[in-house]
Formats: sequence, structure tokens, C-alpha cells
Amino acid sequence: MNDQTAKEPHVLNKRERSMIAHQEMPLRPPQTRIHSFDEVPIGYSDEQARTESLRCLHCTTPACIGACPVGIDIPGFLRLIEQGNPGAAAKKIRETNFLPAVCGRVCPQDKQCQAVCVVGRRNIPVGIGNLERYAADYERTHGLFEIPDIKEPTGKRVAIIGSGPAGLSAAFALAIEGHEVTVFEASHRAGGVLVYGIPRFRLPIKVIDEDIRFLSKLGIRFVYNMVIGKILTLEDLLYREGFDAVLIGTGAGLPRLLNVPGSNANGVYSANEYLTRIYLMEANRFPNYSTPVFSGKKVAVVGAGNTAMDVLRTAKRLGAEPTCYYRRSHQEAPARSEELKHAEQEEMNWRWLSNPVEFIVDEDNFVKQIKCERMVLSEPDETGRQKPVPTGEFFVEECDTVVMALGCSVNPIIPSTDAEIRTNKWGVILVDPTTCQTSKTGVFAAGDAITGGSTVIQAMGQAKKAAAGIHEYLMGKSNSALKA
Amino acid sequence: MLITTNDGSAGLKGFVTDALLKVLEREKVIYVLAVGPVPMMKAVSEMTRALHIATYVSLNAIMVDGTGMCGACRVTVGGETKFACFHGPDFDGHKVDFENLTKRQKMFAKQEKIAFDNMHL
Repeated sequence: MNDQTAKEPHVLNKRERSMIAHQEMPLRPPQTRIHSFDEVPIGYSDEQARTESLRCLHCTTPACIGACPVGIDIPGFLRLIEQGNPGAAAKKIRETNFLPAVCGRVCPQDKQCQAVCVVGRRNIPVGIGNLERYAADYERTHGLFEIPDIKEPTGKRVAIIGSGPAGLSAAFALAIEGHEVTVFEASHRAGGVLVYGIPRFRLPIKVIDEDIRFLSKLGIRFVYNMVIGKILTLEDLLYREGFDAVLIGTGAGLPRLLNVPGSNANGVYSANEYLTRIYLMEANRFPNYSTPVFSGKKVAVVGAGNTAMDVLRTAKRLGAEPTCYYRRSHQEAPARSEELKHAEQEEMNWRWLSNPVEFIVDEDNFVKQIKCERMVLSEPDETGRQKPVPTGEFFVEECDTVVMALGCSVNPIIPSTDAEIRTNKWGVILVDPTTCQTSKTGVFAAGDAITGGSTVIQAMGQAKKAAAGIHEYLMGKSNSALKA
Repeated sequence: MLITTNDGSAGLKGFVTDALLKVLEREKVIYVLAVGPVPMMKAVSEMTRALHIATYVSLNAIMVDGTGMCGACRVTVGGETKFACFHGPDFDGHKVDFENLTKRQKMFAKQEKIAFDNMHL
């Protein structure tokens, strides 16, 4: 694109910029979107994107950059959109974040860059996430992806375990440095949580696949159906397969479950199982795909976080009448405000202050009812938090499917198969905070495996740090494993 | 090696437990490992329980990813929920809740039939 054609009379001053109205992200209407897995936010038009980008005040010391876990030059890329050059904006984002189309869609901007945006003090903050998505989509749909320059081969080989956000980011950073990178993925397709855990109506599969293709073009090798810790151990990778360093990016995928009567009944799923069956194994297309899912008419979803919203909305699309059960109230729901809003637009049933105490089963052990105790919120404690307190009052409702969306713990396979990998009592892998090296020499870790569960962008930020740590280790500058 | 078949077309006519009983009568056994269908592993565990012979069973609970991620394969062992893929697949047969496992194995019986028919074998 020729940016000389950008029709700009003069560079707007701050006052003029602050007068510009915020551009709402256009959404598919709830009545139609609940019948398809198409993405709900349609994306900004060119005009909307330019208008929104003009709202940036270009602060002398932009707080947004510091609030971004990977430090994207936000005002820099907004300026390029403003100048009518979204392709260059995408390239600018890629200097620090190689998954912009993903992050523009799933980052909690309202807790990061947009939370500190100066415009947001008196008005709606600049739609940074929407603009990041716009630039990335423009780049993808116009075929502007560029393979970055790769340094001379170092002859060093790195194994990356897991192809989620952490693994992919580290693979990218290490490949650019000239290392030979192999990514081991347990399932049959790359992307980790982006594929199995985030619904297509929030993150279309083509966005992820395009990024994987991009990585393949950098010479990164993907090995699928390979469970490290079971098929090959860390020792195998280091001493038999001859890798010089290993990165663990296996995430936090171990589901937490309620331990109440009926938890192991038929039709009671973890959110991971429910979403994996549908999004990774395509159970919604059963029997054309051979993995089934039993998703009935009355789907009870336990929890009110982002994943619970994903499950509610997925169940709705499979024709169910979903109900959300949460032991606290609407105000305490941990989901992003936007996810909650989108779920509410799609008309779910909500049972706030309802704590499931039993899943009642039929004679074949299939769940048929959910029994809940009504809760009330306590007076706020010293920290201001109100706790849910049982009332001794119960109610029972019909359901034929239960999905527990109660969060996840760190995947235990690798720590449990290598005694040198040290974890804390929650199974979180311990690493040196500057290099991300674990207690085992040459083995590094990043992402949810070292936090116990965070966001895509946090995982990417750590992966970058880990990649730098691995690079230093490989080039002989540092080689000490985490002590004590 | 003792072979058993239901119809007697090879080896002993009968079930695995019939062969096991023969061995138990013949010699002192201190450890039994059962690998196979759930009803067989259940029957073996029941037989050895009374005799206090340590028995391990290798459970083939329904799994999706097999990496500890989904919990489809959860089984109740000694009153606790375990994931067969990650904590197992081998468990103390005397502690496994076979009743729950048997019912969970039938969770997708209808869909399995549809998928099978759809393969047009």
C-alpha cells in the first residue's frame, strides 16, 4: 500500500483526537450467531480502524507499552494504521509478538494495555485489541506475511515440548537465532489450548493454522502424536536424541473437578473434555468424525470464568438450553466482561449464588438432575472480598449433561517422569526467574507450566525470556541450572 | 501359557478365571496381573480378593487425549478419583470401583454403534 494516498489534511492534535467517538466492534446478531461456529466479532472496516487509531493521544511516555507482557510498540503500530498502512502496522507488531491475530482476539486488553490507556480515564480507551486484530487480519488476507531474516545456523538443536502459545513463541525466537528447532506435540494438530480450548467463534482455526504454516516456513519441524514423558523422556531427548536444550511448554491442562456425589457419572465432563471433543476432535460433526460428544438438551455448566462462558456458548450452538451455576454472584464472575456480555446476549439461564452439591443419576449412572445449595455473600473481609456462605437451603433442577469449568492445574506428566524437575506443592515447575531454566541443566520451561495458569500473552512473554535464556545457554554464556 | 476360549475351539473351554483357578489350585501365587476386558479384570480381582493375593489390573477407561488433560478416563480407586491415563493405567484391582467403571464404559454405547455402522465394514 502506498501511504502517500492517505487522505490526511494535517496531524490531529490531542484535543481533536479526544473528540473522536470510539468505534464499536461490529458483532454478528445473537439470533443468527447461535446457529453457527462463525466468529462473533466481525472485525473493523478500514474506515473504522483508521478512525479508532486516531483516538490514540501518542503520550510522551506511553503506559500501554509497559502494560503489555511482550511490550508491543502500541502507539507505533496505531500510527501506521492511522497513516493507512495496516500491513506495516502488522509488521511492527510482529517485531515483538508473532501471534497478533490470536492476541488481538483473546488477550485481556481490559486488564492490560487498555486498562492504563490515558484516553480511558475520561472516555472509552482506544480499542487496541481490535486494532491489533485488524492489522493482523489485513496482513493475512492480503498475503503480506514476510519470512524474517534467519541468522547463520548455530548447529544447536532445541526440543520444544508443547505447541501452545509458549512453545510456538519460543520456537519462533530460537529459529530466528539460527537454532534447529523441533516442536513435539501430544495431539495430532498444533496450537495447544488455542485449538482444543478456545471456541472457533472466538478464534477461527484458519488464524492458528496460518501462524503454524508461517513457523514451518522458518524451518521449524513439528512432530505430532508425541507425548513427552511417556513415549520419550527428557533424558531420551537430551542424551539419545541429541538435543542441546529442551523447553517445557506443556501448559496447565489438568482439569479441576468437583468432588461431590455423582462427579463421575456419565454425562459429567470437565470443560477440557467437552471442548476438546468438539474443537480438537470435531465431535459436533459426528458421525462424519468418529469422536462423539454427549451434549444433551439441558446442559449445566459449573463455574463463571471465561471457559464456562465458552462452554455455555458452545452448548447453545449444539442446540441445548444451557444453565450456568456459580456459587458467587454475577459481580464476582471471573470471566472477561466481554465474554460474559456475549454469553448474556445469547440467552443462557443463570443461577447465581448456587453451589452444586450433587449430580443425581439414573439407574445407568447417567446424570439426570443437579442439586445445589443456595449461598449468600458474607460481609466483606479485610481484603474487601465477600465469601459465599451456605444457607442450608437446596434446590434441584433437571439436566442431562454437566460440564465443570473450574480451572486447571499444571500438566503433571513431565515432572512425574523426571525426578530432577522440581515443582512447588501445586505442581508448578520451578524456574530461574531470569533465564527460565529449571532445576535440570539444559531444560527450561515457560507458559502456564510455570505460572499454574495465565493468559496467552503472558505465556508468550515468558517464552521470549526462556528463548533468550536458552540462546545464552547454547552459546556457552551461562549454564547453571536453578539451585535450591 | 494357558489359553482359554469361550467355545473351546482352542485351549481350555471357559473363562480366564477358570484357568486362574486351576493355577491357584496347583501352586502358590503371590501376584496376579490382569489385562483385558473390564468384566474379566473385575472377575479376576474378585477371585483373588478373598485369597489376599496382590492383584493389579490395567484399565482401558475411555480416553480422549491420554495426557491428563480431559479427565474422561477417571476411575474411582480406593474412594479417590484417579485418571487412568496419568495415574495408571495399572491399579490395585482390589481397590477399583468396577461398577462405576463398567457403567462409564457404556457412556457412548449408542454413538459407538452409529460410528461402527457408519464405517460400512
